[in-house]
Amino acid sequence: MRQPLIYSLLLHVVVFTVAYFGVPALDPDMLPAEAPVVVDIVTVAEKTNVPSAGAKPKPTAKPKPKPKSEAERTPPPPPLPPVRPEARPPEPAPESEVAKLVPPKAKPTPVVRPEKAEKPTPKPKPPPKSAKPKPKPESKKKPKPEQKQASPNAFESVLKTVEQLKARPPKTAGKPEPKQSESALESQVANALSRSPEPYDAGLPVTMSEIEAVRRQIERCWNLPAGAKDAEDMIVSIRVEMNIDGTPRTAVVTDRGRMRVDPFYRAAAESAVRAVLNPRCHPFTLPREKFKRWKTMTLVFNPKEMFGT
Amino acid sequence: MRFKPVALFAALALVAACESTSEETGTASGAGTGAGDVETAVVVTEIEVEEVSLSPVEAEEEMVGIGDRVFFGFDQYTLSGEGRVTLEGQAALLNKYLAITVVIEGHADERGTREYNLALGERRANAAKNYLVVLGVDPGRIRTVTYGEERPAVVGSNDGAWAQNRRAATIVAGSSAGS
Amino acid sequence: MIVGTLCLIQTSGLKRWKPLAAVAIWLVVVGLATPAASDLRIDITRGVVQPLPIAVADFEGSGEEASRLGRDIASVVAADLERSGLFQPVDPKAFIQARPSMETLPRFGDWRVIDAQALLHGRVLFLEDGRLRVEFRLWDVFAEQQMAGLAYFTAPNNWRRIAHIISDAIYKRITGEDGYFDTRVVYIAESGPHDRRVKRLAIMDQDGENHRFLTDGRTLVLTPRFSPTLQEITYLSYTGGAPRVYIRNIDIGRQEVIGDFPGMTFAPRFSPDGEKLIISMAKDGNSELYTIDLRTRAKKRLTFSSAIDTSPSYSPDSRQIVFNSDRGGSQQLYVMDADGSKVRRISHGKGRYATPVWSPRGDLLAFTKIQGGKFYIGVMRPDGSGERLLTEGYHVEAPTWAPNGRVLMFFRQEPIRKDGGGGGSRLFSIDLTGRNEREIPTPLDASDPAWSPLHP
Repeated sequence: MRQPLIYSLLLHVVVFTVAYFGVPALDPDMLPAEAPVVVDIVTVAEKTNVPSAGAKPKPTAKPKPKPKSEAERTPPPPPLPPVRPEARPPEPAPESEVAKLVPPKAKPTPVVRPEKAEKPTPKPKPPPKSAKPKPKPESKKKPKPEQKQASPNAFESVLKTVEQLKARPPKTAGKPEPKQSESALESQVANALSRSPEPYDAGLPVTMSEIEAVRRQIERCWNLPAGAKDAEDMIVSIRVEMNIDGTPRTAVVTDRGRMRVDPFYRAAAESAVRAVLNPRCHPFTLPREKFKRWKTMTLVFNPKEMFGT
Repeated sequence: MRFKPVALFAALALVAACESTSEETGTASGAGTGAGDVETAVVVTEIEVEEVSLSPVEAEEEMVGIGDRVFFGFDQYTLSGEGRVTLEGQAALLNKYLAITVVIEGHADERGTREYNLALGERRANAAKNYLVVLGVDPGRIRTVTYGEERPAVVGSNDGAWAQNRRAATIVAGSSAGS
Repeated sequence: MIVGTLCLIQTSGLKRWKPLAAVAIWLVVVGLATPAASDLRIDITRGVVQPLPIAVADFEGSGEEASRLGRDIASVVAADLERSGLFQPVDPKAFIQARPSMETLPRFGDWRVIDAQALLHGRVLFLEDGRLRVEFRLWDVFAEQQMAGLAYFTAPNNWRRIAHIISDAIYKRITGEDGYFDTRVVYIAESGPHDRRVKRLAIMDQDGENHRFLTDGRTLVLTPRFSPTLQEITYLSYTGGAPRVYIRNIDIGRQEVIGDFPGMTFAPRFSPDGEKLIISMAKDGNSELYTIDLRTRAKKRLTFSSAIDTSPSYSPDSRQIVFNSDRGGSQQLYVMDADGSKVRRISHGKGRYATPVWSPRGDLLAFTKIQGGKFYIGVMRPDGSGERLLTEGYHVEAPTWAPNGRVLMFFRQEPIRKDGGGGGSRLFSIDLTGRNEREIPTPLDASDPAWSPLHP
């Protein structure tokens, strides 16, 4: 009997404490706001041990033993001239010798689905009808690739199975819904944007549909690390400072510590940062008049549902 | 083949020996065949074994005539009634010609995985071997080897070919007479 | 806003604050107190799986030969990355800045505009002692930062390996996982009619280069596997007419029979430390698993069952062994402790399961599955859960893991046609996700692939 009472008392104390002081976790200051360093800077000097190790070709009597031992003995190779990646405002391009001779091609072929190239061998299936192995993925894929990244199908479970592939088509058919809503939302947002001339009205909250629109934008540019070990558990939080034109000014992974020690996490985090910084998905369709509301945002990338586990 | 002349010669020698109707060895008969008689005597003792012997080629021909292979169901290694009959014929042959040794090759169809098929082929060869042993064949005369799916009897990717390939084939390996 | 707040609490990671969080929720909901407004939070829960666009510029070189090597290295690296399915090299024709200098920052805008998200460039130098110095820089184009910069020294004729090593470095830096490009594949090269197939041991680089045959085809050989120490392979050979497990030194070419067994030995595989072999030994129709200590030649029997027990594979920590057995009536996967105890069946789906191989990463088993007249390559967790079939065909078999546990190689055999044609078999690789299936080019038909570990 006393235990519940104590618990209750404790709880009340806690409640009032929290009510009075606020929830610690909600304190915005808790979010580490660090310098906008997005990736580790690896200088050549630091790492040259590694290469020399790698350069040792073969422990055996191969033709290469020589280079190996040599490489090992080699003192840290002269570091490459330090390049200052921090020089944030880049494009210092000191030598402007290369004029823009080549007209920038909009997009070479970033989106080529690997599956396309994947079936090099025509494999005669005995039962031509059930020619599923290769053909299946292909046909499945077919509908999607046309819409490229925007296709809702692109979001389907990261891990494919032969069975899923078979079962998929119907599902796919039913799926376009998100896409439609997306474009609908986008046009709504666009309308809203065009209609509202006065910026900086801090009073208006960002609506769920506006958030949804941005979410869709970023999702299209988030290339998630599909096959990595424990990829589904790599939840990355990124603090983004925005420009008023809807482009991100800085994007900082909040868990810098884990980034330093966990290469898988770093890979996942970098993929998230790339999603935010990818110009193909800019500007975010957020209403200017609410800039104060989205001047800084926290984007949380959680791939769990993509793995369907 | 190379044993055939020997057998023939031995048979003739036997006939000659019989004709002589002599219990003594040829040296006693004193006839012109002199030197040969000694050999004849030697051959005679051997012949009593050789009488029930065949060259491997002949034995192989006979084996094929009886049925040199037995077939199995998919992923099976138990002998069918038909297979038993075939093996009984083989056992009769082997029990008649005691000098013959055989290798039983176990095979599988291509619709399995390589390593499992090796084991399956080994099992099939042993199933055949065991039945021969039950029928009185000395196990020392039977060697088994598996080829898994590596040596199909019929090349093809259909039920007919697979059925022909799930087999244990008895191959005459040699004859102790030749050694 | 409330939703956002809740999420924030949940992900704040402060497990011990959970009760507090609950209370806070309650407070928020009831409106007693509203914490200071925090950032706008957006959850991104879906993404795409697409290759990362990467620009691979020709490595610069002073002099004709260095320039040629620079081009060759870049093309090998680009091909490696492209083949992985995780990268899409940008067509060099689209490059605005043809080749960034090693001494200055790239003009990131020029690379952004052609959609490159990463940029690789480098330089090849001949040193005075005749060696080669190959260096590269890898840039994050969006973040405008260097991701990696390394230099290698080697003999010039070793340039191809350096290219693979660079590919591995890039792969590792961007995906977080070790690469697998500096590896080789041993397999069985096949030729001749199907009832008298000629089979030879063959070895090649992971990309099909440096191909050579290890045996002349006079003796039937099957199922080669690499030693973790790399210089040796183990396989089944019919040398002398009886199937036996052999070990062969790749470089010296000498082969040696393993174990003094009364029956045939087959299905060999090295233990993760390379000091033992685990094999099947079949005698009197019964196949059992044994280990052989390669130094003492001591053998140890692990299974005691009248069933077929074969295709064993160690877990990377050497504590467990997966194998297939028909002890339950049909071919299924079983896991046991390394001493043979605690045997338990892990495959429970329809069909037959075979050739289990433990991932070097430890998290998955790959296997061949036969069901309804078809063959599949699949993966499952070591407890049997999470089965996923990656590919299927008339006959696909013998998955082997890349050393990073990310990619599988297997062989795919076609049915023999009525006219006697067909029946060929080729090697393929596929990503763990089920994507990016590709043929590995081989001069002849090919089967039974085995991936080497990364070169030490």
